[in-house]
Amino acid sequence: MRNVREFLQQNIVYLDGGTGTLLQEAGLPLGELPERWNITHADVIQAIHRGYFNAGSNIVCTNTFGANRLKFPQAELAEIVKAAVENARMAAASSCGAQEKFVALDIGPSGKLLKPYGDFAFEDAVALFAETVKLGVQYGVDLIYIETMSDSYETKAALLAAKENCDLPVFVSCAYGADGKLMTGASPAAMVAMLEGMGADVIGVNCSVGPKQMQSVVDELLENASVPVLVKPNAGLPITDGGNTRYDIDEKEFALLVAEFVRKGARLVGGCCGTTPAYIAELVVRTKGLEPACITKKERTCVSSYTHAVYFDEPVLIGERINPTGKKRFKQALKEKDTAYVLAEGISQQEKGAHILDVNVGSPEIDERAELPRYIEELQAVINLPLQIDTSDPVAMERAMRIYNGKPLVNSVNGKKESMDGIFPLVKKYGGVVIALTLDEKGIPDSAEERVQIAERIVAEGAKYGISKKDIIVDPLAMTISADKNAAKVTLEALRMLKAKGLHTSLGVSNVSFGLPSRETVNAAFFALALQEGLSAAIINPNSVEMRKTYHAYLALQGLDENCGGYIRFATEIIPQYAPVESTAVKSVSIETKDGTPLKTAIVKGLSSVAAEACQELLKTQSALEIINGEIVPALDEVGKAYEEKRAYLPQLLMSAEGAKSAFEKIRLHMIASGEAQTKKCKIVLATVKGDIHDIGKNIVGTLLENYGFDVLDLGRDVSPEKIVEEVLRTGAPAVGLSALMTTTVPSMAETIKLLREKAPNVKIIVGGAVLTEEYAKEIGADGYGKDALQAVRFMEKLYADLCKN
Amino acid sequence: MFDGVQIKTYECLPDFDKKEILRYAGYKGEADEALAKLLDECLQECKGCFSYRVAYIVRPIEFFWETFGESKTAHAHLDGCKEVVIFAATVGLDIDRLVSKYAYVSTAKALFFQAIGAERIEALCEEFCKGFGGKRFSAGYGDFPLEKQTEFFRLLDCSRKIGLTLNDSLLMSPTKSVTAAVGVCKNVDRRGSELDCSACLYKHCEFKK
Repeated sequence: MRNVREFLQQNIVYLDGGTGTLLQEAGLPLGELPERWNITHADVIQAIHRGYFNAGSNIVCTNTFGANRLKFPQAELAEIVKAAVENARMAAASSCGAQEKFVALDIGPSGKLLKPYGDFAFEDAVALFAETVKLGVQYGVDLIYIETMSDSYETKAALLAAKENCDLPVFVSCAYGADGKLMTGASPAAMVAMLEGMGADVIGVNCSVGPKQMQSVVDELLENASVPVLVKPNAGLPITDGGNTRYDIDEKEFALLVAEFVRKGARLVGGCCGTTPAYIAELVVRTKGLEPACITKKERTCVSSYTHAVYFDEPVLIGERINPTGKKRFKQALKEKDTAYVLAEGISQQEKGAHILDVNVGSPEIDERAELPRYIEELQAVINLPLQIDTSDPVAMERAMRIYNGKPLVNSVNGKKESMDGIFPLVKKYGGVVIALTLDEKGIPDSAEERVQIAERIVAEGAKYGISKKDIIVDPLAMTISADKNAAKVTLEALRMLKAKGLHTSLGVSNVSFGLPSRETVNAAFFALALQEGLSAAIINPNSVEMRKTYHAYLALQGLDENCGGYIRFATEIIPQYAPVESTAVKSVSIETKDGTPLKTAIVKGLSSVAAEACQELLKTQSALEIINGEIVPALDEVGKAYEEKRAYLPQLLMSAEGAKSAFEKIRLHMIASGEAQTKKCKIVLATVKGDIHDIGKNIVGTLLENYGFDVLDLGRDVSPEKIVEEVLRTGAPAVGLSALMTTTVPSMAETIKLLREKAPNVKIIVGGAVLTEEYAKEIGADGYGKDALQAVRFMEKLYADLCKN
Repeated sequence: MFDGVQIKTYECLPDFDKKEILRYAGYKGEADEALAKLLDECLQECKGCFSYRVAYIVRPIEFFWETFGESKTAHAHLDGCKEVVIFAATVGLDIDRLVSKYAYVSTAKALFFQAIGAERIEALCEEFCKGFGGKRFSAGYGDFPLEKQTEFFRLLDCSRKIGLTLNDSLLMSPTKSVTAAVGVCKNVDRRGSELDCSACLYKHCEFKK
């Protein structure tokens, strides 16, 4: 038999069609697991496979769509996969078709949603798919076919499992909805970026819709993929007539439409739901004599997130703010595991127009190998920008690349052998575009020529791993002109030379002005010069209006901004005098303040930017403690009282809390600058219990407790009892707050309390959540019950007072 | 698989009901200007982030009893109907992402996004159930046990059809989702103008109408 990869190079490959309809016709009841039929109805399964081989299919997929350990115990799973492979092999042997025949191990989605929005951990998903892959390999399939995936993260887990457990070809096909996106938001281009980076042999689309609705997805795949593209549509859209479901496209129309995909360049074709051997037979006839399209390498450099790809065809802005270097406040946030602070830095850079975020959490006292992947997970849960993983530790790098949901930018490799030996294997395995710094064992060369030589050495070494030069972006290093007057000229010259060699480039632009006054002036001018020399990506501070001015003006001047639309939008938003006149003053509020000073009023009214400014002003004349006790706390109390008396409601309570939070942030910065130590009341560990993924209530409690000066350690949602106990023991916190939303997760709360009583008998426990009542809280052994967030504050205030007494 | 399951998607639904959103956010009365401004900001930001999808089957009423067993609540909703529609609806994951994002930046906004999501999934169910005549009910209503949730998922292939999943604690992801049954009773209109809270056993509900 011929090798699948070879066969693929020279032929149009026919896959099989649907099996669901055929199984139901054969008597499979709705809701029964079809994989069991491999054993109980082997004849039916073989007949279906044979039908496809007879129709001309080259590849038939085993009846193992849902064959995984979530649905079957280990022994039965092995039996099912064994029988499934045998059924397909028997069908191939007994088919009258003369074409090449292969058997693919079919792998469908787990049916679970991955964390953080679901409860299935990424590594558990990898392990789940790995088990099925190993069985398929053991029983002798020719290739792995991962299909109908609707989440990029789960697709990554499945492909990783396949690559780590076999050398067989792996085809990966996703189900894109009518909107052309996966259920969790990924575009076809984003999927191509990630899957190609990880070494998928074939990338495709199947299920969800018919060939008509699939056009744009197929086009996008063909436009971006450098590997063969697979297309396996449904037989149109389902229609019901008299309780029966059928599809709206017959085999003739189907074959004509799919033949058109072959003409455009699709190399593997078949059908999904509603298609039968007749559809495949017709497809074979209609595509007879068509030349298989040539598969061209697309040399476009791109990285991706779980929603979209970012190309380096036009200048890309990389936000540099998630980095502790030279930032005391950021270091403090890392030390305190203040995830909110780090995420807020990310969110604000996105709002200011960054296309990619650099993530660096390397700092003394930080376990980077644990924290870097954790922050990557947190960031990719709420920000849809591609991330640049920035660390010099290869172990931290690998962990972060592994759990990254997309194709990352990797920062960085350099000309040192040790660096290339460490980083290139990771890029090969997990995919990525890597930043190559032009330095080596001898340091940073003085001349542009030598820097370019290092770049060429790095590219050549990458090629040995099979890493294309499109996946390497060269950073010829911006050095400060205050130390060497020609530093910028050398860098600019290197940019020009690299561009001439067809390489993309990036720079940490702001280094150029180190040691000079008004650095932004120099940075912005240098940035403009670098862009003119062809700079592809700039690592900058997106908060710098000067840099953004340069960027937008450059695009407009270079004809890269249609009708100057981007520039005009930027200018009117950023530069106040060009903004349309709009009243931002808020006139009426429902809670009237007594004796309102500006800060107090702003907090009561929930105006956070006003509160921040007012606080900044007060810090000139008052101490932090005076402001907290004289302004912030009384304002919070006032709103709290209004809330308890039902004169104000939850949204207002939270808006005030935000006002207070922004004032506290000013105080915090002030104290860090002046070296004052911060005093907090006692610590409290907060968590939503295991099995529960709702956390808005817990977050509200956390916000209010922080405002009242408590030291809150928020463990997030779906937290195991063991983890909660561990953190309580580690921190010595005198209190724990637990949240559960559902009747089904309250037992998990009871279990947590039991374990806490056993291991940390002195800790006080307060509970809350939608279905909890005071009686029930007592029954499960809690010390306190918070009907709302304010009650939790009252509970903690009392506990703190008691602690102070003793 | 599961080719009997139908999918219905909606490009758009009736406009946001701000009063309902404020109610879900725990607010009573007319919104003051600051609040109204914040709500408008949130509505602007989440426009286009919804992907309304419903997976459903239509079956003779006997199928319901065979599958789900006896329940007084179910009888109250279904007696007199010849057919039942069993469905799962979701507005997609993006609103969950917005809630999570703002949990770190602005809890007030997070609260609003969560309220907007609640309003949207209700609006989707209302739209879908229009014309069936019956009033929908879900696992966990009255004596119809929450554990029946797994049955809805077994029947509807929710994850593949509409991207909806169930965890071991019977919580759904995306969270702004509903599974329910609704009777087809062309002659009797059982739907009231508002959702009826009287069947609910939870006494402490803040949102009770």
